[in-house]
Amino acid sequence: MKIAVCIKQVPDTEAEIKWDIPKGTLKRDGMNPVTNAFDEFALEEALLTREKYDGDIVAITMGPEKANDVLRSALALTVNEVHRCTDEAFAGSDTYATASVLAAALKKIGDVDVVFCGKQSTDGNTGVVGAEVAAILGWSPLTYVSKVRQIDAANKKIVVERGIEGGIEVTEAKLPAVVSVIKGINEPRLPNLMGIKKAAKVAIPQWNADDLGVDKGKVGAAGASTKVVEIAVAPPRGAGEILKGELEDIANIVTDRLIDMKVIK
Amino acid sequence: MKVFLPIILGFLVLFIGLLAISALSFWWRHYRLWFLGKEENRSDQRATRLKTLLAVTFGHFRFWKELYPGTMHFLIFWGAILIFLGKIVRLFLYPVGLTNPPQNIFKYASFVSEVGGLLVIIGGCMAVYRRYIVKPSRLETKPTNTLIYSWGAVLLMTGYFVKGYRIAIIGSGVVPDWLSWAPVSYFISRFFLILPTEPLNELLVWHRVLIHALPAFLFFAYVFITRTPLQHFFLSPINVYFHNLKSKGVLLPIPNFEEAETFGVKEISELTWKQLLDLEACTNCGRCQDVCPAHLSQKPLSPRRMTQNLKDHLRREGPKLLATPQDQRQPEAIMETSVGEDELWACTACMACEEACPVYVEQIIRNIDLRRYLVLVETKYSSEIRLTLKNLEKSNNPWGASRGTRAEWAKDLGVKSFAEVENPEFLFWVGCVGSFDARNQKVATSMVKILQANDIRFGILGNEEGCCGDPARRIGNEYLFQTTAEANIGILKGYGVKKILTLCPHCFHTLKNEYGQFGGEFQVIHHVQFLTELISSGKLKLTKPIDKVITYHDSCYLGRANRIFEAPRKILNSIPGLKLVEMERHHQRSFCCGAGGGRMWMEEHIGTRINQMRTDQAIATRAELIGTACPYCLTMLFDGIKEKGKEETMAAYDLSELVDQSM
Amino acid sequence: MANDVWVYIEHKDGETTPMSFELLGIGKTLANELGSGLCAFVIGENVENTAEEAFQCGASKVYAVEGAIFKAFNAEAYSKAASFLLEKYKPEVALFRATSQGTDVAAASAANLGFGLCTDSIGIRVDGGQIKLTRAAFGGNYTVTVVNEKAKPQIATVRPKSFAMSEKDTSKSGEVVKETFTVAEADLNTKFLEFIKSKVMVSLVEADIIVSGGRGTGGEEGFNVLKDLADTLGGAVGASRAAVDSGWIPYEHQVGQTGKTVKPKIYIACGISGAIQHMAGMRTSDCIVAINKDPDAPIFKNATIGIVGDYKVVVPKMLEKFKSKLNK
Repeated sequence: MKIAVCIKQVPDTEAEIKWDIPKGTLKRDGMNPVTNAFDEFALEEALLTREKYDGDIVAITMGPEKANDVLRSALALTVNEVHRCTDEAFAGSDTYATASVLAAALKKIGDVDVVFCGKQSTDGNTGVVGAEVAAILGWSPLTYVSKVRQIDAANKKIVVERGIEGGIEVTEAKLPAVVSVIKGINEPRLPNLMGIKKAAKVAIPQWNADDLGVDKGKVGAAGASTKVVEIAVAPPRGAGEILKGELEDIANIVTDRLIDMKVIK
Repeated sequence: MKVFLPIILGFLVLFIGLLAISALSFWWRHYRLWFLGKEENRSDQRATRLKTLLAVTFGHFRFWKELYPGTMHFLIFWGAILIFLGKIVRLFLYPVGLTNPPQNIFKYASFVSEVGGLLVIIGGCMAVYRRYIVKPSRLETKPTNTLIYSWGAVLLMTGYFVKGYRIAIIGSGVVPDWLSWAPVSYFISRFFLILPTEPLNELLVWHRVLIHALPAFLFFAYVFITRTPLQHFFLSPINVYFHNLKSKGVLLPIPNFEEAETFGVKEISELTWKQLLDLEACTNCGRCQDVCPAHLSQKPLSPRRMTQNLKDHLRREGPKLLATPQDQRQPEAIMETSVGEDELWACTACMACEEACPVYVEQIIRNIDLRRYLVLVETKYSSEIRLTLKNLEKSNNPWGASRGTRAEWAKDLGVKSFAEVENPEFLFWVGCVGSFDARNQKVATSMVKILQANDIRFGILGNEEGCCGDPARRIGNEYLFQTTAEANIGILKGYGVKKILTLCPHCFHTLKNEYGQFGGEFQVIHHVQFLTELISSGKLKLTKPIDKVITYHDSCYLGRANRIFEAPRKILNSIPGLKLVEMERHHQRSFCCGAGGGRMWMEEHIGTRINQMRTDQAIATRAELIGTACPYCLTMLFDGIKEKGKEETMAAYDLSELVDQSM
Repeated sequence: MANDVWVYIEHKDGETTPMSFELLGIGKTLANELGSGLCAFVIGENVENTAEEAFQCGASKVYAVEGAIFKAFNAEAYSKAASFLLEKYKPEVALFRATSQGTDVAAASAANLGFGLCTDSIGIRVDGGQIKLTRAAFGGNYTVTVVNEKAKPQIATVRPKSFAMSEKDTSKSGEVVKETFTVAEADLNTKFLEFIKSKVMVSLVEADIIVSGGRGTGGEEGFNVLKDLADTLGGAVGASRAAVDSGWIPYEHQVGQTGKTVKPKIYIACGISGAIQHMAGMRTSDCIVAINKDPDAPIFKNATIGIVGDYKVVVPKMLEKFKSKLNK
């Protein structure tokens, strides 16, 4: 079985956020780049799949040189092959552009049975690249997957459980499939010391736009259809506020604030 | 004599032959198995080692912690020595010849062996009574034990009988000498007087040769050739000689991270030869089990059991491994066959087992070695451990709290950072618990107040302070420990730190005894030592009384590991009004609070909670306060009091808080 | 002259819920500002009832693709049909609710048409003839405003409950435009097998909202109040170690160093002191609301909103307010 995994390197949003208050932006250099948390679940699922069905795992990422680190982490976990898609033309890509690059890479790898990716990234938070890759390639789109029940490579079938509103949907799909996984599908293992040491010495192969056969005009800032025009920075969380006053008022304030967050369904 | 001589010569030859076979067998069975293990240098400081060996062997050093077993074993041991001495002297009878009356030396020898025999009988009866009637839980009785007692009894009895026959043969005329030189045998000989001389002679020959001498030689052969517990009489002294001379609880670094192919211990030949010797030297006495907090709280860990299982593993796997060339070996993994995971993780590294063991078997390093393999090679551990290690890596503290908030506790106290202090006396190393845990921040605050009240020039590292690395090391992530330690040493040296005051015994132990392994040599004192000095020098006057009864909990890493027992008690005795009572287990027998070995960050899912057991022990003293000098212990006991619903009547305090109150 | 504003109406098992029409409210506002019309589009088997309700919520036209193949939801089939409609009519913007169905269809449709989309929008406005969409990014630390200049239609998913629903006007009606489009079953790669209804509302680790109780809860009954609040908010119930140890709630609910690590958007801590061991498990929550009788409890140092008081009094009041404000 050939298993692919799409990984993204993101800044660590769980560590202390360093603000550059005058500029109103994040101090990214102070921040540790890490593997997107959701992609760790995807990687673990790939490893579990390989353990169960035998095969090879190829991990790919799209990113600048630093992104080699996430591929090294993947190698340390005994992934068989890695590739980094990189090209100046890719900078500033939106979700579709990113998806087309990844799709081209998957085609180049060839004979892929299943692709695992995380539901969303912790920086962009868009959560659609997986579905877009599936649509571009014409492969089965399996989103919000909470469990992979079975993969039958010979008959090219996969059965998954999807965690959607109100319950679990069981879906059968043809291979190749793009499986976008949610948090908690498994418990990602950590690489062992030997793996880390071996991976540190490996040269990571690169693919640029020409290698992938990607039209430079259709990706990156040039090709992106969505464009960010404004960034508003949420102020750093300080000690917070202790509400004082009558219970009636306090209850109103707190419920209004929470409803405003637009999280309550 | 002519009749006997060939027989005696025959036996001498047989004896030497058997001895040779036994020695070879011993070498074959033990020595070569030990050398399956890795190298370790234990040949240093021969004089000290010899002294300990003699003290333990002849003085029965650690046995006296328990009066009954101590006495019983002392009697058996010295009784046997005396018999042996007597018999050696008797051997000279042959070349020298016996005069009539016998030479004095032989009379003394006879008396000595008679007394020896009696001692062995008394000790033996005490032992039999204990093992078969009292049946303490830590003793495992196997067929071999019963065989040894029976065989020993037979040898002692027949020994006396032989003498008895000889005395009886000489006649019923009372020879006063015999009574004083062989009282027991003389007594027995009176019974044999019913038989005439001829049969007595016969009996003498038969008994001497077949029923006494032969069984005796066979007994020795049995001891050397099979695996009886009695092998401890040469294995244990060897183990005592090679015992660990460093402080307890000091772990060793992995020598070569860059080139090492594997880490920790997966299979038996990865232990050192000394660790393998430990397995065989263990006499299965179970003293370790009786003091182990994990065992006493129903966890699947018993140090004795682990050692015995590993010994069985060695004896099973060892010969197989030795018979296969190195590159073809397929050794069994210890964690798959002989040690369970829950068993291994239950250890709190409290060292009570090592303290109690009469033959100095070492357990802690071995347990952590097993953990190192699981952590570094297999990354096989619970999610709690995973979270703790991740937090240590990312945020330099086990809770993942933001590094920038580490010095928050001190922000209104006017504490300076080390770099700002002119001519500081020392660096105050607060530690993770003191920095982030609400209850322990109060301890850090008390300490600061004491320091400031006495105009001590000190500083803290503030946000540059990171975990000392103790949790990472005891959990088994030696790589994380090493990188943490090296980073800390770099920071400390960068600031020119020479003397460090710690709040926490784990920081104390790690900084003082383990950082030297990475080039960090600092003068480290624990706050309890500092306070004692301050009080005894008269600088710190404790005037406000605390009229309460207090019991002191000895922390494992202050007490057993670093032998600091009296300093905290001096402090408590200096506080007016405070009355100190001791718990049943105190000083070096103190009972762990349960937080060591990285367990502060793990939940106990099996059995009783160790901290609750210790709290119960404190409650039993009817003290109103529990005093301690360790943030882990304080957390555990503080929680324990809450869990036991005793908040109304009891409270737990760090000694510095009490000093602060009394100041 | 801008084209129409389209709103996708999703349904489950052939049935719509009132929330399916949610976006017609904001849709109407946008259409008015752009000076164009509001349409709805739906894919399914029998769309008559859906169309009727859409008209009542303000749509003037409903575009539909009908067919037996579209009876049950299938992401591929629906997005192929949706792309067909969007390609043909090229509305100004197509809005989808950011539910699993909405997101699946929106993403695939956008990809089929060859461009990106803006997801989980919490704000939409028209500015200088441009539609500007606001969304949270970077774990909630940024809000970014996005425009989609090249795409027609612009496709966006909208976080549910971000905008008020419009009042239903039963007198309204409109035009249903049915388009012929079908997909062969053999061409579909995915097949629905079964749906297992969930008894447990939300898993603790996945929950966006957690209501948590600690030592201050005082007992098993205390957690009933918290469960009510969690249910109303669509969240999960958590607990501190003290509560679990006291046997008031099972260990699966424990949050903290030796329990679960959670990262919800809202964490309401009732009677929890905020010791570091508990904070280790929920420190990174977006918004922490602390309710505790003790004003010195460490949790107030880390809470976004703190209320000094007895949760037994505060929580029922909050519940009452939520129920009325959320129409529950």
